[in-house]
Amino acid sequence: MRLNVNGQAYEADVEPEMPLLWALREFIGLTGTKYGCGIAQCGACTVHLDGEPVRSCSLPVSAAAGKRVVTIEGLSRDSSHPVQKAWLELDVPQCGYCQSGQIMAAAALLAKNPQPTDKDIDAAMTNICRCGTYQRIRAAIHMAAGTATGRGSVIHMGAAPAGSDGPVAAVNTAAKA
Amino acid sequence: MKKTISDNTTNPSRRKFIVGSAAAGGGLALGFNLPFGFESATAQGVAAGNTEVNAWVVVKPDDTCVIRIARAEMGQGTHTGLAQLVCEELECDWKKVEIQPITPGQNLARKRVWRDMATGGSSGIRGSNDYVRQGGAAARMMLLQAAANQWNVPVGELTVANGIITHAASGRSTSYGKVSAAAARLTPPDAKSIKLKDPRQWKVAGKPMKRLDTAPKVNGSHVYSIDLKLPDMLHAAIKACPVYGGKLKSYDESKIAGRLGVGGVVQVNDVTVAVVANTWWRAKAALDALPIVWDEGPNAKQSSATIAAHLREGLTSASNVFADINDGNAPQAIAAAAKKVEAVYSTPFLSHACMEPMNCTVRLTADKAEVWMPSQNAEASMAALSTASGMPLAQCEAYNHGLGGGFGRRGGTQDFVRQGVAIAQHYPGRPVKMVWTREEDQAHDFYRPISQCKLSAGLDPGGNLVGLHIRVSGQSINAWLAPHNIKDGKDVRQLQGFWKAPGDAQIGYTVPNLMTEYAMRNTHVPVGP
Repeated sequence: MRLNVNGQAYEADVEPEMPLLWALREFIGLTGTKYGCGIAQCGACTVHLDGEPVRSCSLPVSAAAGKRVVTIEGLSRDSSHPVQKAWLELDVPQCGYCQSGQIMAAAALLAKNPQPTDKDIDAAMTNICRCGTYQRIRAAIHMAAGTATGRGSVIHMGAAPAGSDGPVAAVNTAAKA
Repeated sequence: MKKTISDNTTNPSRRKFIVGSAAAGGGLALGFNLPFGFESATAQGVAAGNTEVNAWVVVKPDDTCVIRIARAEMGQGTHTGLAQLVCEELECDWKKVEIQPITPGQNLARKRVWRDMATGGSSGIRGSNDYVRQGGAAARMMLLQAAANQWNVPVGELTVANGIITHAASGRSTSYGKVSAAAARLTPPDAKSIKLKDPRQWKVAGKPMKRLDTAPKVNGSHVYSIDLKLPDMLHAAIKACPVYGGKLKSYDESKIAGRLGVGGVVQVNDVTVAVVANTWWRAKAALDALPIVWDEGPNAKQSSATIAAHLREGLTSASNVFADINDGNAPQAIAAAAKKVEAVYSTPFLSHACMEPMNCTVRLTADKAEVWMPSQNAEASMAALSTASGMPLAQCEAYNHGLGGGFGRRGGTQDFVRQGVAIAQHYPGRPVKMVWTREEDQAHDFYRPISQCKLSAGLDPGGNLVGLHIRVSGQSINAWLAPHNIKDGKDVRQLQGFWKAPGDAQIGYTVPNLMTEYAMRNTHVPVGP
């Protein structure tokens, strides 16, 4: 079967029922996409299939044949996707294991909904983070969307963003919204 | 360009994989990722061109300051925090700092110069901040001395900032990178002569700096242990008896014979079986298809209900109970109080549920044992490797990766390393990566202990507390992992949450007539920190 991963064509002679996750990790060698639960619950394995976020641990590789697969390694060449830049700016990851999936889910959300509200983010971002980085994930999505002030919560690690009343005020504003 | 991925490895021999024309094990032209580039020179002491100023600090000619870190990074920021502490005393340029984890083999070879590698209980920074700062300060003193020697001026006339050394009187300046080779040959300063900075003058330590480990975590390039790729690597999926105390009775290997890429079945120990294949998914799929008969043993009939009843008995029992705090007379004060309040609370067994499932890679050769793992205590991992393989410690090495979560699961309990060794012993010379399924992770943890707690309180007519009686009934971590810590059947650690100030104080109030009691009620389920 033909696979297209991050713009590269592959002829994959593997078991059709093999989950896409394991074809990516064990045959193409792209290990940025993670195994977390194997039953499409945690989202660590999220990749884009024709632009849609899918949980690759539970998707047979045959279902990806002829479609465009994008993994964290292919989201940008140099970590320059707005979501990656916001993740870097806000130091979102802790252990980092779930973050490939979080970033892919966030990028898919913004592609569909360029200015999401907190509610939109909470509804779309169902990936699990065991370290509990959810607040920074939400803030980074707002930063990537340019909705960092006025429309949602922002938590900065150091100084407050220009023009804001500071991180505490911003969080309070979000809490009232 | 079109690439072809395929796998012709069918029906490999039982303990050996045929490397097919288009297939090399499961790693099909994937490239290999060896994240440990630690120079072997570091274990050999000072050599020509060596720029290791001391064990903690290497300054490269381009002024890059490599700061060695002994503790594990699992998302809590310890690597960055420890580097900040060293940088503060070193007075180097934070923008030129790189961190380099050390290995337990190197620590052993250098008489534990980096001291404890264990990382848990929020101790990574508070347990080592003094000696890592001294390491940074000693390196600074040596670098300054090297410059003073070069210019033939008193070291006291030099100043340093951001790794640039200046002699104001003569208008000269140099950088750490230019003098590090000379500094490396100097005798380290006496520990007593090292004066650490007043924290009020800190510029880097204690400040909210950007983490040093973020970049590879936003583009998929961070190599977790589970991502390791080595030449000729094999993959193992594993299953232990679902009931603790049970055993593996039998399995029917013929039912998975001939499956693509599957190398064979390994009995890991008397409770655990593994399937080894050229990719992990094939190993796991074959293990799912393998008929296994378990002897569930004496605990087969235990359930959440039987365990809850066992703990409930401890809430009121008079036997096997002891009081830790007994101020005044709480039962009497409560009995005489105007108002009595009583509540029973419970906590379940809690899985640590690290996002990165338990895993390790083990390679055993005739004269070397190696393990790659996510560990909160790399020295404990190496010790487990040595014990399980029979290889002396001096011929062992353990490579710790940034952990996909730890939470106490990956410290003292190195069950996954012992399992990895038992599997790799069947494939001498070949690295075998063992990865647990999430189901296995949930079913075979060292859980946070189950407990019930009964609180009885008495209030006066004004609603003020006159007596508080806390009875905890539940499992003891010490009883499972460290029974020598239990004296006369009393595990006071299990009541740590109720200790009074100072120390690990949790009760922040002065309570008249306070009684805390513990009824140790253990179960067959493993528990841990």
